[in-house]
Amino acid sequence: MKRTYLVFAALIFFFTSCDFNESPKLVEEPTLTRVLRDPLSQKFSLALNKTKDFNPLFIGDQSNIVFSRQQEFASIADFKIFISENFKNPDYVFNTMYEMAEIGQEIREKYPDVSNFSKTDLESLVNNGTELGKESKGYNSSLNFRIQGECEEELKSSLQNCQDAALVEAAGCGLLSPTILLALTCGGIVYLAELVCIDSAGRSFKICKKYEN
Amino acid sequence: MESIKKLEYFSLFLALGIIAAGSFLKSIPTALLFLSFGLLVQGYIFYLYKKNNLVQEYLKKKAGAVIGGLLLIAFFLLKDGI
Repeated sequence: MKRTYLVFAALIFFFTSCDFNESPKLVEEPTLTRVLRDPLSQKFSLALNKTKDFNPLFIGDQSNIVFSRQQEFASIADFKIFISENFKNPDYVFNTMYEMAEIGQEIREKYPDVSNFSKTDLESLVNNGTELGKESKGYNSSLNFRIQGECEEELKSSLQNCQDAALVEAAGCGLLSPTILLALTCGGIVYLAELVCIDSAGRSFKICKKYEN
Repeated sequence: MESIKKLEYFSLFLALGIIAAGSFLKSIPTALLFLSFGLLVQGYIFYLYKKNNLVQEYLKKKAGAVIGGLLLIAFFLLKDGI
């Protein structure tokens, strides 16, 4: 969780260094309220919540990461290199951050006063995002999110399970049926059940692939 | 003899229970539990046959079913390799 906010902080540092044509203006009192009410803010919050998926993907040295030293990135290329060195599935991490930064930039263009937000204002924005993430029914990233190769592993395990079950069932048919004819009929049912099991594993694999990044 | 027939059908019903547990509940331990119970029932059936001096008939019928079961196991083990 702490790392997520560090990443968020890194993004703010990064995009503050990239594009600053707007001159600072006086902070109007209701700006934070207006930002929080804006649908863009909700989009930003959902994007921010996606960064929670980054924790298990972090592979870098926590004590030596760039943002812990508050170092800014000179360009997007540098940022990409940093991501590829410190995260598994770097494309997903970069795209998620980029999406969040784009929305952030839109907010900044719409509400230039955001640049002058105090730490407390930013905290309110982040907290609002966290609350929205909890309330959002459609988003359950930790359950749905799949890393590359995980779906194939699941499919392999499911197919193995189908075969093991078929063997136990076939043994049951042989040992518990009174005649060979009934045993073979029972075996036919086992075969059909195994086909259903394999089909179900295939469908789960297709669904899993949709969530793989 | 009638009770033996009923037990044999019950045993077959347990075999269907194993299929349901293994394929639809996806629980191999439950399937094995049904199998263990089925084996106990088979033991009792054998005892009843023996009591009626019909061991030969039991073995003749059971040998066929066991051969059928072994053929099925061989089929499920080898079908992916064929």
